[in-house]
Amino acid sequence: MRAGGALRTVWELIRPMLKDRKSVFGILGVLFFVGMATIGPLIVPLQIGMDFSRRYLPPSLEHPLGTDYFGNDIFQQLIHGAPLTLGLAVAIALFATLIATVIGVASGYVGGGVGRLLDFLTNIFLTIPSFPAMLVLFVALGETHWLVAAAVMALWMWAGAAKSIKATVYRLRFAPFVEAAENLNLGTPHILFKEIMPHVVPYIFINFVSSFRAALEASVGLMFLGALKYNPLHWGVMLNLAIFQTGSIYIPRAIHYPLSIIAFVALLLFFTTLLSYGVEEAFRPELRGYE
Amino acid sequence: MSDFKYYLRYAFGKLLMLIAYIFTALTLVFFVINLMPGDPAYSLAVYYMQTYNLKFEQALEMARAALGYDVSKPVYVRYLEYLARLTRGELGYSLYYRKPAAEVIALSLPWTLLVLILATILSYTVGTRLGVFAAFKRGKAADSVLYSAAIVMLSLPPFIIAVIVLYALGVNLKLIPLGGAYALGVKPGLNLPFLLSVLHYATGPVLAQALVQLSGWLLSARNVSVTILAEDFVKYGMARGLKRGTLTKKYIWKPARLPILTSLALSFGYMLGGSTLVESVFRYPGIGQQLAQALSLRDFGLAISIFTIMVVAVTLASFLIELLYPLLDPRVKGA
Amino acid sequence: MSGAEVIVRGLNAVYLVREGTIKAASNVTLRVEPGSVTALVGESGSGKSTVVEAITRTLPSNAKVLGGSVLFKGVDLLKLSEEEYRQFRWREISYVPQAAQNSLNPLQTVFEHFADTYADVAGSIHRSELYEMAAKLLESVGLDAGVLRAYPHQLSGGMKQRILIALSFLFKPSLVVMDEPVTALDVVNQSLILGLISDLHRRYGISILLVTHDLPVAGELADRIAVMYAGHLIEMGSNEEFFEEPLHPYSKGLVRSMIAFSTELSGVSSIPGEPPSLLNPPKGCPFHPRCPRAMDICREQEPPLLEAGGGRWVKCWLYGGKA
Repeated sequence: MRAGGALRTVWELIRPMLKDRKSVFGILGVLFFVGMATIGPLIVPLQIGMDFSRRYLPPSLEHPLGTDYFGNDIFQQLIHGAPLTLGLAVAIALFATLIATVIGVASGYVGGGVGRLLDFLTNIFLTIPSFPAMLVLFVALGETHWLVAAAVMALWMWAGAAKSIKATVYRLRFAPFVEAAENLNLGTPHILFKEIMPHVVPYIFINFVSSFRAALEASVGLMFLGALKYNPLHWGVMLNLAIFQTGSIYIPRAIHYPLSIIAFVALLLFFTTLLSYGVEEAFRPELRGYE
Repeated sequence: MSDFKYYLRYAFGKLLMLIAYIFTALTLVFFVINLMPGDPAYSLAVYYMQTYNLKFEQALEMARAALGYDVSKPVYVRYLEYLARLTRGELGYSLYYRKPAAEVIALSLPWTLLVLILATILSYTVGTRLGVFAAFKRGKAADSVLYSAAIVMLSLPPFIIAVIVLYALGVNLKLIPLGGAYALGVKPGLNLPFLLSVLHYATGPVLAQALVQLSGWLLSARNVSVTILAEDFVKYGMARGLKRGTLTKKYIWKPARLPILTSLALSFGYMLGGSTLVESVFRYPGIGQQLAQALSLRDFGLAISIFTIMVVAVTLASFLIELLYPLLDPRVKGA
Repeated sequence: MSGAEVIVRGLNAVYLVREGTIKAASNVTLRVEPGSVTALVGESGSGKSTVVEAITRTLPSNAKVLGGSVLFKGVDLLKLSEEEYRQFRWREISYVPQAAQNSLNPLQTVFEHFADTYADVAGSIHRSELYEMAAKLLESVGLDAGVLRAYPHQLSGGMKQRILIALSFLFKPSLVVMDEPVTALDVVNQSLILGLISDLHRRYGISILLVTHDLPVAGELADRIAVMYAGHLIEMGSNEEFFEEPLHPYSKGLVRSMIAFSTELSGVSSIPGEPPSLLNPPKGCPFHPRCPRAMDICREQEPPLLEAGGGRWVKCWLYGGKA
């Protein structure tokens, strides 16, 4: 009985997304990368060594994307870096959405002085340029566990989502059915969870997807600049190695090295953006581009 | 005259908000750095020890000074000292350059501003025009193409666009230089060779930043215009026989500009954040690159000063936009 | 300046939507006599807005005219290109829209509305001359000239409605189409505006096509009444004759429910049922599912528009006609 209800909610979430071409495309693309991250490392082996004689080999059957500075296969590295890249972004997005939901619901529902204070706080975090902030923080922190890093990054990503969740909750708070529930003295927990939350869930979902996208961009960016130390297989670190450490972008015959990484990152971000737009339009039909 | 008084009241209110924001933001920065678990000065000291070949106690002292982090003093004392320093205009000291941070920033900030202003002008004018155009052609091929292109562009983060521009124009076509603000051997000053060289060297970063923002302007202009085109007053305008030109200018452009304008502040903030990446890729000596470089050298005095300036700049920008808004929209008289 | 005649003949128009095709106007024929106030009455969705949009050429992009003609001063308006129609737009045919609240540009003053319209339709004019003209127009609708400098958000609903009426008279057109001019107003303003329209009509003698769902309003202003139902024009006649004895069963029901307000409620009924969906209209006469006097032929064939004596027209099998 319970499982059936949960399954139905999931289906209710997914169904509108399938109607639009954008989100279908986005879902397929993201699923492809998720597959790459989960199954890929099991199928594709990883051979890391240091063979300078095999440096910067162009793409071939043996090395589908060529080799890097150390003579290692780029394709293998990208496949094994996929779970790291996606996993970290998911963790950040989860944290950020959690914070955003708590603050957004609190500020939207409680209102008054507390609400205004939370609004102010949200706006501060929105105004402070998040990327430089993270940059400074991570260099100051030095080596950190990846979960801590995820939490710190989430700190700068919840603001936008909190605003949108707050707006929804605030709107719903004055809806007739909520007023009715209040008059019936149904109690705050009931009103919050049984009446309001079900309507907020789609927005939480939308924000999770866009947070995921922002988290990808931020984490790759931070590692690209070398601010965040992480596994050398993470695509951001790979990009840092390719551009700044080895300068391969200036070497014509080595261009396949940075280009492959860029292609993977760009494609993943593209599909995620598509998904993000599609999800948003699915749950908010007024935003549709075409009718 | 009472309209003006309303406006003054509005402006004053916004000024107070501005001060509150900056104050809170800087306080937040201070406390986040100072209340983090562990002692960041420690790892910094290790770095100093290795890089500058110092004894640990010396290194630790320097690290503490750089971070403004003196565990011997209680937090609130440090906070008050921090505030005092800020009000005096003392931004900190750069260990690497052995100069006050303010001097370093004064040299690099103009370059960043140049890039951001040019990029904003470029992306705003082209983007919004394309967006309004797409709205008129809604449902037709031109709209789909522009919309899809915008989404593709939007998904690419600043560093990827920067790398692509660098590769395409710099490495491949050799059209733009690979680093610096102006060519060596050109004398700075108000002379033509210098100005041309500056523009030449700024092309890469400007183009990259503009491309990042372009699709944002396009989509927001398009969405706003589509909404406006469906408005009753537009339909009534068409019914009265108003010409296409009049409609576009006074019925679409004017109301569309306002909501789009408020995103200017957001765009500025985003570009400032992205400048760390874009300038690093192009090795362009603006404050973004200075920040990244300072951090890689653990020059915290400079880094935090730059960050402070960034926060102030962004808040100031949005404050200015908010001041401008009532002047453009007769409906908002600073209520 | 005097009123012109408009003859709509056999107008067939549809709207294309996601769910299918909406038959907004089916074979609509009606006549606006020169210098008269003709009321086009019907519920929402009856097709009256479509007729208005066809005459004023303000049909939305998903609308298609499948056939018919709109004759005005010897020209079929539907056959004109947009450029050719421009000669008529606002100069000969003007329009008072339904949404008075949102029809004015919020970022422009009232005067700028006059200025832009004049400039784009007639050409350049001395600013002070136009100002005087606009001031006089506002005066004729009972507004002070100072309103010209105001922005829409500073004005009340009634004032905006008057401005729209004033704007419609800018070029002293031969036909003014008014779409629900008093619906959104409170009762006081309603009677004021109705008085104003009646006044203007008496003064200038133009033809007015008044579209409304409010039968009493039509009764107060109109010389002739035309009734629409489910996209069909089902009855047309003079004001007195119509209210004294409505012919079509639907009109009977309308008039009966209107009288209910002034007499007892017993013996009076509203019309049971609902108007049909215009996506899939029923075969035959559109009213037959609700008609107390429906015959077999009503269910099968659409009745023709029959003349019922001296300028009265009705689309109903009860009044003759051959299958």
